[in-house]
Amino acid sequence: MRSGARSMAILGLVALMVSAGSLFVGPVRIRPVELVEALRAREYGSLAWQIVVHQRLPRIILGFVAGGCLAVAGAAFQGLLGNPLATPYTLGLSGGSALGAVLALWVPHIVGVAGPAPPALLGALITAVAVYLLAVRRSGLRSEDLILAGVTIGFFCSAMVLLVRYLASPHQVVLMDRWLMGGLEQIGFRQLSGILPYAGAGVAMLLACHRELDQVAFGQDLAAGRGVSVPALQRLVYMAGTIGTAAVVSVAGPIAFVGLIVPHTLRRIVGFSHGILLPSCFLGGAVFLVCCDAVARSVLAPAELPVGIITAGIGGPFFLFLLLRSSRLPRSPR
Amino acid sequence: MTQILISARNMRVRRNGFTLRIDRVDLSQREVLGIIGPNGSGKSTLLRAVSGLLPLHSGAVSICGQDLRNLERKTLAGLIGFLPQDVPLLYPYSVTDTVLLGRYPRLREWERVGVRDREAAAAAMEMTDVADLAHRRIDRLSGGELRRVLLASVLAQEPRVLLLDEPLAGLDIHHSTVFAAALRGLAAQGLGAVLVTHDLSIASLYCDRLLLLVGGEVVACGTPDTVLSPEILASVYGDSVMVMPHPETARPTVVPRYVQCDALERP
Repeated sequence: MRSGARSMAILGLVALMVSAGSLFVGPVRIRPVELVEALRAREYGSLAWQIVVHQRLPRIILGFVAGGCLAVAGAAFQGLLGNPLATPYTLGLSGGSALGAVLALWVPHIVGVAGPAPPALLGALITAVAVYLLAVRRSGLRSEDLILAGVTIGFFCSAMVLLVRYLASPHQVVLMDRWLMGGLEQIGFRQLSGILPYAGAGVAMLLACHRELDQVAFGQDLAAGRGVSVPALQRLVYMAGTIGTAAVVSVAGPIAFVGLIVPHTLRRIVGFSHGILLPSCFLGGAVFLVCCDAVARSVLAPAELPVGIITAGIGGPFFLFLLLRSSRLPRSPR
Repeated sequence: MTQILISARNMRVRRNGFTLRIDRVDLSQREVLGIIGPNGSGKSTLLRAVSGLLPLHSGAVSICGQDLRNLERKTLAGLIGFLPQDVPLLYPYSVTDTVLLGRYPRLREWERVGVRDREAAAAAMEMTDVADLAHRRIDRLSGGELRRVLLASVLAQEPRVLLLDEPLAGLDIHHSTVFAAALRGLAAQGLGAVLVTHDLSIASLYCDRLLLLVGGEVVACGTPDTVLSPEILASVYGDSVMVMPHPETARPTVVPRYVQCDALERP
């Protein structure tokens, strides 16, 4: 317990330092001194101030919240469904939001009104509801049904995305591909404030379920015998994880691997109790995505790489390294 | 004085076209009730219904004098400790953490684990003789150790009744005996226990009364001597078993008969 609090304090400190440090990473070189000077002289029009406060700050906040939200939702889904590969993102949500965004980019008068974010959010929520309705039974959710339904609907949506790309004009296809790669760059404080309530509510609801998630790790029967209302827990976790992830994906596009790699890595460090694991995942996911975004905007400067390429490019091999080193993912013995 | 912990009257539970009928069963303090019967006879259904996991179709079950239907889930979990047959181990928690998770029904909404909870967990681990495993990971335990750790986690709930669904499945004869003896010790301290098992000889030695279920109906209920009679056993299990007195206690002990394969008669 005490060691858990200590690793969380360390993680929090790292998250703060990484976020502050990455304000000064990017194609334009800006030293902290310039910012302090601008602040002292009250010159809020200076280039350094404009770039750091209006360009980099919102995207760092978005990266922080998005990474944290994806990681917490992944950890909670893996615990709830007893499957190491489960995340809201892999259960059809990414496919649904991509289909929504691509459809909106294909039929431009929708984009003219609102941009791809609202249709992406709508697509994500529709697939989430469809997956839930396909998997729910009178006795509650069966984890195998949910995973099968999610993966199937995800593939269906991917096929529809390919169809739309095939029918669209080359100019539209470029826009679609850019969205499908995922990124944090096109965001201002207004869009950020639009998703923060959803992401915040999702994360808060998941954190509040930590004791019940520990109980269902020993099976639904034992949990129910201890007084956990398992169907209610499943509904709450599914809804909270979906809302948070859908909000993030609608503005940042699909960002792969955060919900897998962060929880699995942190279980090795802080242990398996969700009371420590979930908040650690929020901080760890935040650090991971903020770092990946800093790499994305500096490695090919002045061009920018889509952050989805970095998360999967760093995350995939690292995940395999962990897998090979431990020779197995956490799972039930026998 | 001994108190009636569970009393079931005219209980009916329906599940996937199967009906369990129990007209009258009581469990008192310091008593171990064994539930025996062939596969699919409704043993698990009975435990799950009394634990509140399955709804009653009709009839009444009272737990420590309170109607099962009116009991809140967490209140019920403070009276009944249910150990299911299959307990998947998703994550390798430590033994101490696993036992502490049993305190869940005793904690209020935002309450954290405190001194009182740690004491209860430590006492539960003493009772099932797993205190020396405290820092081990549960995925590194033997089958017998794991069963006793899970029993300790259920005991940490501080229930009045234990409902154990085949806790002896997969255990060797030594660990089965140790587990059953531990259960006897817990009953001596005032708990009531219901033990579902396929091990008729262990049930005979360590249970006060046996309830024999076949196809959802009670075939016999009473002391091991009356329930494990050769006639009743033959009617349920066919002629492949025989009964003899236990050399130490003279209680009935069930042993397989030597049958040549063409002579086997189906029950």
